[in-house]
Amino acid sequence: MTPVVTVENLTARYGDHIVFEGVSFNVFAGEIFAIVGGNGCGKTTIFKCMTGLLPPSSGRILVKGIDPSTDDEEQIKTLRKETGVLFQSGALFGSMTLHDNMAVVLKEHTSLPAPVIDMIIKAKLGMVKLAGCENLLPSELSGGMKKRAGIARAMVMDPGVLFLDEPSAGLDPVTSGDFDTLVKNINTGMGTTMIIITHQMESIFNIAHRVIMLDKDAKGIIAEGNPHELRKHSTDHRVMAFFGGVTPEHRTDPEQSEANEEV
Amino acid sequence: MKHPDQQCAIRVEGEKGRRLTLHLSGYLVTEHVDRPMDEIQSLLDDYRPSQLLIDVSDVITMDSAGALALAKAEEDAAARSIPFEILNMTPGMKRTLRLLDYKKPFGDRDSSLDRTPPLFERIRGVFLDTYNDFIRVMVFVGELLSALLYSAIHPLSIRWADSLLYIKRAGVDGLPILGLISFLIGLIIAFMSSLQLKQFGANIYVASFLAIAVVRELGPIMTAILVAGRSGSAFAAEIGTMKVNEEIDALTVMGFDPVRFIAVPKVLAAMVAVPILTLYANLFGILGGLVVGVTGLDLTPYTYIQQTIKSIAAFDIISGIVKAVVFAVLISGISCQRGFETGEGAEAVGISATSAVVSSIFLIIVADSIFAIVIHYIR
Repeated sequence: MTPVVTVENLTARYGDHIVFEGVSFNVFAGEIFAIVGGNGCGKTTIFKCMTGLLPPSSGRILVKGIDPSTDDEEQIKTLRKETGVLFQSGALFGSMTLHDNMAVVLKEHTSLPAPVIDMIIKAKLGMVKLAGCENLLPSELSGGMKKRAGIARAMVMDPGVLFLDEPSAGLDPVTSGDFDTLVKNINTGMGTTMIIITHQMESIFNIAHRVIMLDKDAKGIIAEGNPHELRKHSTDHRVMAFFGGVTPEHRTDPEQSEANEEV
Repeated sequence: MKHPDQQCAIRVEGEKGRRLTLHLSGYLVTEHVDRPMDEIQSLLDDYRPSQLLIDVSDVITMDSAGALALAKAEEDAAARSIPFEILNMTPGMKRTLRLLDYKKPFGDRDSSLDRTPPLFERIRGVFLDTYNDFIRVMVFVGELLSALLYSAIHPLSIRWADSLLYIKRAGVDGLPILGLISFLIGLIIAFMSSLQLKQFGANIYVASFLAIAVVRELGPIMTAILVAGRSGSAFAAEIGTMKVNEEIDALTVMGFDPVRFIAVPKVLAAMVAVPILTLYANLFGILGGLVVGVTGLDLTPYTYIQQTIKSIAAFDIISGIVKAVVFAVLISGISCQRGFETGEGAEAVGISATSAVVSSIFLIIVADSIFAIVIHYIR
């Protein structure tokens, strides 16, 4: 099977500080692929490299066969149509209504007449359960609604690949669960390949087919596979701590046990 | 619970050069932690014991600063090669001590943190920062020119609705304050000059003096500075906030050129609004002079206006408008650039807005100096 996203020997550094090096993985069509890891392990840096916002220090990324850091404008234009991005904050344009937030993308990339654009926008907003909210400004939406509007905008061109940066961050468990269901439905309904940057384990177990875990000290990938398999079979204490939700310190610290007993 | 008025007492047991036991009692808490710290150190200097024991059995409360006092005592003892031990610690105290990475607070500090770079290094730093800033501005100028060229070739790609909105914000909304300031400036200059010219019976030349000063210099400059303060800062803050909210990244990944999408409408709006505002400022400046001329110099409005018209040439007005267009590009361009350069967080937005105004005013003055020389030779 040909991968949709290929990352080969990727290295990122800020000045002398190496964030990660030699990172390689593939994402295949129709997968929900999660990138997890603790703070500072480079999840956001990989996200920025894959979306073309940050050129990698070395290594190669191909998204649908196109290098996101290429200077070829035609290729970049094709890539932009083929990929959608949901930012952590939603990144909706604050001065525009939801309708305009989405219309601006369609107007840039297509020459569709206004009625068709309106129809597409209504359908996409309906898909994320925001029907009737076309004329609301982002400031009038709740956190969960902003995320859903963000995904509607990211999906407005029906991209084959969708990148999601911390989609469940800041959402309550119920809204987060609803959002996971939405992501799953889009994945199964439209066959969209999804790459999710997150550290919400519940969300990963709910939706991810495959996951890689980055580690700050290892400066790279320390685990790769199905999240449920990793939880059951991984012997690496860092992976166990992350996927099991229990830190090794908690299991081995006698002082802490003593403290817990006192409590 | 802490008791801010309660202090920690130290009872000393032992002789000089022998084992020293310090019995701490009371509240070893943040409010008065400096006292036991100093006291233990001076006791160590005074007694020079063979061993130091600190008994904390009578300590009622110890917080993390109190634990630091104990850690510092250990550090001080270790520095004098004195064996050290803390007696009768409760499990809670042990946990507080364990929480502290207490070797670090008193250990060797990273000397680079305290080091002030030498003068030449600092000067070099300033030059490097300025150079890098210049390069970034030049790169942005290139991007902006290319975006403007693209927009000129593809006028339909321009977001005209946004341009009109910014014309309103930078232009129409600024009319009242610009009119008032220009009127008052005209009034002040006419009044000050009239005090001198009246002595020579040259009242009529107040009109000429003011007209030339306003049309050639004050009108464009005052307008540009006001636009820099009102609109330049607003442009930088708006783009800066978009940057902080990841909206600029969103634009990029959706296939938009952020400069074309965001900066071009603002630059075009400024290019339209600032020349019109300049003419408006000229008018109100002259009006201010007219009030002084009529009320203080016994001139009729007709005479004053006639003298004004006679004094200014079309060249003066045109050069003022050309200046205004250049100022508009400088203000909007540098303000957008500062916005795009915004770092992380709300503070960065404020820094960008301030930098936009300062840089705009600096560029206005530099450009005006160049205009003064060029116009002198062209005329």
